[in-house]
Amino acid sequence: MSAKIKAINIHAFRGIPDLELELDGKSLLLRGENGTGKSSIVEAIEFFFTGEISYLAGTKGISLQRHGPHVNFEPDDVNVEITFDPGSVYLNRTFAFSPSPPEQFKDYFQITQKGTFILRRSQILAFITSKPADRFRTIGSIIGIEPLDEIEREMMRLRDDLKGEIHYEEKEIVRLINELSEIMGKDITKVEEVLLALNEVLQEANLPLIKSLDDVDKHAEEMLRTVKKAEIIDRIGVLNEIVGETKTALINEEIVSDLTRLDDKVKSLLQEHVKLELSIVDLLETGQKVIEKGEMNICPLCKQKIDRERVLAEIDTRLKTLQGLSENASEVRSISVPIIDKLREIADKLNSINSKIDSFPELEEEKIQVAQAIDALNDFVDKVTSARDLRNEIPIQAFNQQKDEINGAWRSISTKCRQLLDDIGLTEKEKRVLSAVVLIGQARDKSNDLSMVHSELRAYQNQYEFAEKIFSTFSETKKAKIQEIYNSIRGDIQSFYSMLHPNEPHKNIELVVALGRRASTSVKIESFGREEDPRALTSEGHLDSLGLCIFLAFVKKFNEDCPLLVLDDVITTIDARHRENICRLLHRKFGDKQLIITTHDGVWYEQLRASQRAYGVNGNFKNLIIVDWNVDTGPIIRPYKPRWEIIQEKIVSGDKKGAGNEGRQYLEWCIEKICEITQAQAPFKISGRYEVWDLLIPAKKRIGDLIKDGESFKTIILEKFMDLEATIIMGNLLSHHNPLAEDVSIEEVKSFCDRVHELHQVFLCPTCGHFINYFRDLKILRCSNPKCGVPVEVKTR
Amino acid sequence: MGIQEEIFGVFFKKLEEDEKFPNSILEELKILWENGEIGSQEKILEAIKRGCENVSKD
Repeated sequence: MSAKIKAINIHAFRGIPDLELELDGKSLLLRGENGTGKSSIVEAIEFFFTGEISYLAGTKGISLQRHGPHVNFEPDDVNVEITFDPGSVYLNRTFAFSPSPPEQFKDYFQITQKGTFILRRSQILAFITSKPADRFRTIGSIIGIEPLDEIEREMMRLRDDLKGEIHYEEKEIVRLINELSEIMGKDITKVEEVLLALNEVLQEANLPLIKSLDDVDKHAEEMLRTVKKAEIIDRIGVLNEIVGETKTALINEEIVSDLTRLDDKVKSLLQEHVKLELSIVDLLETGQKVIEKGEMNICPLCKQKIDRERVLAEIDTRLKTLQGLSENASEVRSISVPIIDKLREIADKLNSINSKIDSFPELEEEKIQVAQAIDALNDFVDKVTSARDLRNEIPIQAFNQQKDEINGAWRSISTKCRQLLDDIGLTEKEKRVLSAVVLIGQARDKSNDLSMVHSELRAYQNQYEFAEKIFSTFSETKKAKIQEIYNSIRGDIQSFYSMLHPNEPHKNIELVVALGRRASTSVKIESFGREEDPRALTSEGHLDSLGLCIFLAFVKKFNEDCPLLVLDDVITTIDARHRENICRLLHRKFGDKQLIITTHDGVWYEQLRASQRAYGVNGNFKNLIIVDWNVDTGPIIRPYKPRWEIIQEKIVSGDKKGAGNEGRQYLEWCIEKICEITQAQAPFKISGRYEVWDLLIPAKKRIGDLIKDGESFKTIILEKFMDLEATIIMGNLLSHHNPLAEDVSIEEVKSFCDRVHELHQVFLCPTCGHFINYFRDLKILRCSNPKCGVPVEVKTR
Repeated sequence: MGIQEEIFGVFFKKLEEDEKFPNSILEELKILWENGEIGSQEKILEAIKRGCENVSKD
C-alpha cells in the first residue's frame, strides 16, 4: 500500500517552536533563504522516521539530545507528528517514544527508518568524491548490507588471529628444535631424530641404550643405581638436575625485544588524547552491554528515560569511529599474553630451583638472590599486566638490570652445583652416567613440548584452513552480489545521467566493487573514449549530477515501497539548462513519489514551478515559501507568489536587502532564459556556474546579431539592456555582505528591480503573456504558445 | 528475500559444493546464522572447533 504524508506537525525541534504543514498527500516544494528553517523541517522528518539526525551523529560535542530541541524548550517537549493517508493514520515520535506503524505501512517504515530517502547537499558528493570505503558505506546503508560488513570483518579477524597463532607455534617449534639441537650437541630437525641421537650419545659413553622416550624415568633410575656413592645418591641426583636446568641462560634477549615492542605500542596508546578516546570505548562497550542485557529504557548513569534503540544505534556508530584505536588496544592485549606467560614460566623455574637448592647451605647467598629475583619478577609481571590494560608504561630499563642480576644468580648456582658435584669425587663413568641422566631428561621434556606444539600447530592450521575458506567464500559472494546490484542499476544511472546531460561524451558509468579490498566501491566513467575516475574529467556541476543520478538509481531499486523522497537543497552547482533536465527526470521517472524538495535558490524554485505546469502536475504539488524566521516564531511559511509580487511587497516594506536579493535572482533567471531562447553562445566555464555578466554580454550581443536592423523590437530590447546595465550594480551591492549597501536607498533598489522586470516583459507575448521563442528555420522570434490568437513575431537574420 | 538472506544462501551453497569443506562445520555455521550469532569471531571459531570434532567422530 502506498502511504503518503497528509500532514506534519513539529513541536520544539531544532529551529521550529511549532509548525503545521498540510500536504494532503502532495509533494512539497519549499523555498527559503539560508537559516530560515528549511533543513529543520527535513531534520524533523528524518527524526520522525529514524530517531536521529544523520549528520549530527558522530560529531564531537554535538548530540541529538542536546541540540535537537528548540533552544526555548526541553528535550521532553520535542514531538514530531505525521499523519498518513490512506486512513489518516496518526503517529508521533518524541525522545522517549517511537512510532509504531500499523501492518499496512510496514514496508514503508522498513525503508524510511534507514533514512535513505533523504539526499542532502553534503551527501551528494559522497557518491563521487569520497574515498572508496566511505562511498561503500554510503551505498551500503541504502542497500541494507552494513551488518554484512561487520560479519565479514569478524570472519577476517578470526582468519588473521589463527594465522597469528600459527606463526607463534612455528616460532616455538624453531625455538624448541634449536634448544634440542643444543642439548644433543648435533642438528635435530624433528622429534623422531631425538631417540637415535640420544642412543648415539649413550653408546659413545658406553651406557645402556634407551628404547623409547617414554622410558626415560625408568632408564634414568636404573643408570643412577650404577653410581657407587649410593648414600648420597639423592644429593647427586638433585645437583645433577640443577646443573641440567641451569645450563642455559634463564632470561634471553628475545623476551627483552618482545617487551620493547609491546612497550612501544603501549606508549602510543598512552598519549593523553588516545587514552581518553579509549576510555570512551570501554565506557561505550560497557554501556552497550548493560543496555542490551538489561533491555533498559532508563539510562543507568543519569536515570533519565532513553530511547533504547536510538541510544544503542548511536553507541554503535561511535564505536565504529573509535574502532581503529580499539583494534590497537586489542593487539596490545593479545601480544602481551604470551609475554606474561613467559615471565611467569621464568618465575616458576626460579621457584623450582629455589626449592632444590634449599638443602644446600653452600648456596645460601644464591637462595637470597633467587628469592629477591622471584619477588622482583612477580612485581614486574604485575607492571606488564597493568601496562596491558594501558595503566602504565613497561619499565624496560629496570627489567634489563634485573635480568642481568637474575641471570648472574642463575649462572652462579650452575657453577657452584658443578663444583659440589666435582667435590663429591665421582669417577669418570659416574660423571658420564649423571650427564646422560640429565641429557635424557631434558631431551624427553623438550621432545614432549615439541610434540605438543606440533599438535597445536596442526589444530590451528586446520582451523585456519576453514576460517580462510569461510572468509574468502563470504567475501567473494558478498562482492559478487553487490556488483550484481551495481550492474542492475547501471542502466538507470546511465539513462538518468543522459537525461541530464544529453549529447555529452560521457558513457559507461559504472560502480565497481574494488578488487582486493574488503568493502570499497569505485566509480568509473568513459569520457572521450577513456575510462576514468569522474573527478578527473568533469565539472563540479557534472559531479553533482552524477551523485544525484546514482542516489536516484538506488532509490528506484531499493525504495520501491516507499514513495517518500526528500531532496534537501541539493542543486547548487548545476546550471539552469541542466536543472530543467533534472525537472524532467524527476517528473518522468519519479512522478509517483511524494517529493519534498527544499531550496534557497529562487531560479531553481521557479524552474520547478514552471516544470509542474509543463508536465501537468500542478495539482500534485504544494508550493510554499519561507518568508521569514525568528527564534520565537520559527519559519513563517506562505503559499507561493510570483516573484514580482514578492519584490514589490519587499519594496513597500522597505526591505532593501530582501528586494535586492530577489531582484538579482530574478535577473539571473531572466538572462539565462534569454540566452536559452535566443541560443546565445555563452563562454564555456568548467565549473558550470555563470555570473550575470557572463551571460548578459553574450545575450545582448546575440540580440544585436540576430534581429534585423530597423526592427523596432531590437531597438526596444537594446534600450532595456542599457537601462539595466545602468542599475545592475544595485543587485550586486545588496546581495552580498557589503557595507556600502547601507547607503543604497529603497528607490535605487526599486529602479533596479523595475529594469529587470521591464526586460522580462519585453520578451513576453503582449497577447497571451507566454515567452517568445526563436524558430531558426523560420528565421523569426515568435510567441511560444501555439494557441496564441495574435502571436508576436519578429524577423531575424 | 532480502539481500542479506540472498548472500547467505549463496554463501552456504558454495560451501556445500566445496568437497573439502566439512558438512559438520557448515551446519554449525547455519545454526549461527539462524541464531543471529554469525557476527562474532569467537562463535565462528567455536563452530569450526565443534565441526572439526564431529568430523573426527565421523
